[in-house]
Amino acid sequence: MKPFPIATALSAIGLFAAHWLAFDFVPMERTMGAVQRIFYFHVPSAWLCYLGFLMCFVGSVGYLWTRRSRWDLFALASAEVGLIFGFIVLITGPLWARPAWGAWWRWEPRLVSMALMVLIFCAYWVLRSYGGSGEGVKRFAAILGVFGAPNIVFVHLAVRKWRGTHPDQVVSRSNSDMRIALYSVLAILLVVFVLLVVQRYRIHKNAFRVRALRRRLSRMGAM
Amino acid sequence: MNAPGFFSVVGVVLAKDLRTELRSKQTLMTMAMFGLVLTFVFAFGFVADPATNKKVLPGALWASLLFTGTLGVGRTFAREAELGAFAALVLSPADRAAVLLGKMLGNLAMSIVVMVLVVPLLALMLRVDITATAAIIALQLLLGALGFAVVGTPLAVMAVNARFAEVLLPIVVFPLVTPVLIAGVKGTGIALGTTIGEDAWGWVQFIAAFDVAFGVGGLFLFERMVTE
Amino acid sequence: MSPTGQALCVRGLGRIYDDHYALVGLDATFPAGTITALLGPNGAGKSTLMGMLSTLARPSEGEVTLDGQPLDDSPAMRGRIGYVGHRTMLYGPLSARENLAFFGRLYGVPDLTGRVDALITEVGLARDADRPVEGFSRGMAQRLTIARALLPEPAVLLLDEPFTGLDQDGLVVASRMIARRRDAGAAVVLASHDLALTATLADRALMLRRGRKVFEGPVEGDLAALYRERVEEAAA
Repeated sequence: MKPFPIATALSAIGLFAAHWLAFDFVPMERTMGAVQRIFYFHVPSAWLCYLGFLMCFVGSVGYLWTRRSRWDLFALASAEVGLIFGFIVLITGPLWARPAWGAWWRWEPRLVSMALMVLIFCAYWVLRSYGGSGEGVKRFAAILGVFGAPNIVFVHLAVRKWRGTHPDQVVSRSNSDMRIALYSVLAILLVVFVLLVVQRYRIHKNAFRVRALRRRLSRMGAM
Repeated sequence: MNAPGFFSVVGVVLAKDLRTELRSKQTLMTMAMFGLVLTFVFAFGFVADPATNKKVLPGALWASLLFTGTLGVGRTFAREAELGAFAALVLSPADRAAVLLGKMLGNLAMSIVVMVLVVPLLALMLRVDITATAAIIALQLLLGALGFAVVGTPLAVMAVNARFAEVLLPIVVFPLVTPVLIAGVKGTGIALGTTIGEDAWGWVQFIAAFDVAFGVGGLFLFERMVTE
Repeated sequence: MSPTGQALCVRGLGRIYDDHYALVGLDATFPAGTITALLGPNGAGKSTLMGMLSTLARPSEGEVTLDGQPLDDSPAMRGRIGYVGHRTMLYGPLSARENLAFFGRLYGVPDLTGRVDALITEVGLARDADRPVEGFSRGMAQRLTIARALLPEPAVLLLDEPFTGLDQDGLVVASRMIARRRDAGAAVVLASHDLALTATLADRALMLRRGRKVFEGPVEGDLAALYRERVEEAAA
């Protein structure tokens, strides 16, 4: 039995379960109503986005030190998947904020640092997609991956000087069903996250091999 | 034969860059010209009543610093890459962190010259009197320019390896210097009295902390970056 | 300090690019006081090997040693290597003299002014010493880049196509300077497509094909014939 299709199938079922948990299992939040349910996807996605970029940081450091392409591919795959979850956060956030705060966007530490982080890793992705695939570009990207993470800390600190209004307490003051739902969805999304990273890693590795083989083939043809 | 010490390498590299620049004036002229053009863009785009002008000035100042600075770091490394001299620089026994520091200071010097031109001109065009707070604004911009050089220089070194380096560099550098931009615009706003908040010194310290963190980080990483 | 008797050795050296080996399990010695010709068709791994010998690129496998010490990219090791690559590695806006003086300071060359003057005269650029290099012809720039590599009197001299653009006089000057560095005890590695000129200079040869060694040994007799036999006929 191949483990990969099974994991994929399980995570697909898991995603249905996640929707059931968020939209049916948990009771209606009293003050915010139905719109609060978006948080079961918003919050885990934010955590996973941070995780992706942290993994990119680790992969970048690993690449700079060892120069093994597996670290570089790990960083790239992590950044890509982190970016996807970042987009989920940036889409679900305003959907909630509009009815709850009356505004799509606020200048608030967590919002700005998330947006900036997504911007930095968009730049990372653009660099990887259009900057070429040479060894120098990998080093360039690794520096970006390493500089990106501490930068977020500075952005966060900077914006905190203007005071924030992020709803910290939504889950902690809520009942245990809500907590169960939140962490279950997190676990399911984590599986999806890992699956996607593994898949992207394998795709890049294969693309890599195909390029190398094609080069070898063209050299043999030239002889 | 002994390899020269850290600070003499910094000096030698900095002197080389300044001499190169004084001879061709290519980078400085393009940066200054771009700064001038930006001044007019901001003036035509934003000039309004005196109160609004005062609010617009910090943003215009810091945007000018970022835009002209990007031009500067990109050019200095295009020159290193032109005939492949950077490889010889890396191969020499000179301390690589010292080489990077020399190049950072060269970029900083360029930004200072350009800002000395652009800041008074912008203030003049937007008719804001900055003489009373000139010292603190100058300090903020100086530290900001250092922050930009500290992040931009190592990335510009790496950019010579990439395709479309001139386009990619700003895309990559701007998000990374956002903390400096935020702190700079807020700090200058406070200095001019248009932004309410704690004293402007808090923001000065913030930029200084950024400079130290990324400066030390960059110097530390540079050794790891430059070889294949 | 004129270094003598420092042999450059590689053991099991390999370099992987993407997914393929540009160089595989190379064992070779570049003895001190000899010129080793590095030969092979395009893509044989010559520049890859040069890159690793210069410390610009790190080996994926195996190691390089200089005089028994591992050749890492520490400042002490870097200072003992002179490298001429495909590009001139000079600063266009600076004059010939300023270029040499700049690199000389980075290497801590003693009596720099005198040494720079002597080298500039030797490579025949005395009249153009104070002109910016960007106005030089490729041949003139190549003379200067050879002077740059020789400036710190390196124990290891790596020459990747050093004769590019040189005129007849330039070839003579360059050959003489390379031979003199060999006689001073340096291990010289010379990669050039000019087989005839290489044959006059080289004491030994290392031939590569598709990242593997096909010949290593002293040059006796006709280098071109040896090259044909070991590299070209093997390919056919």
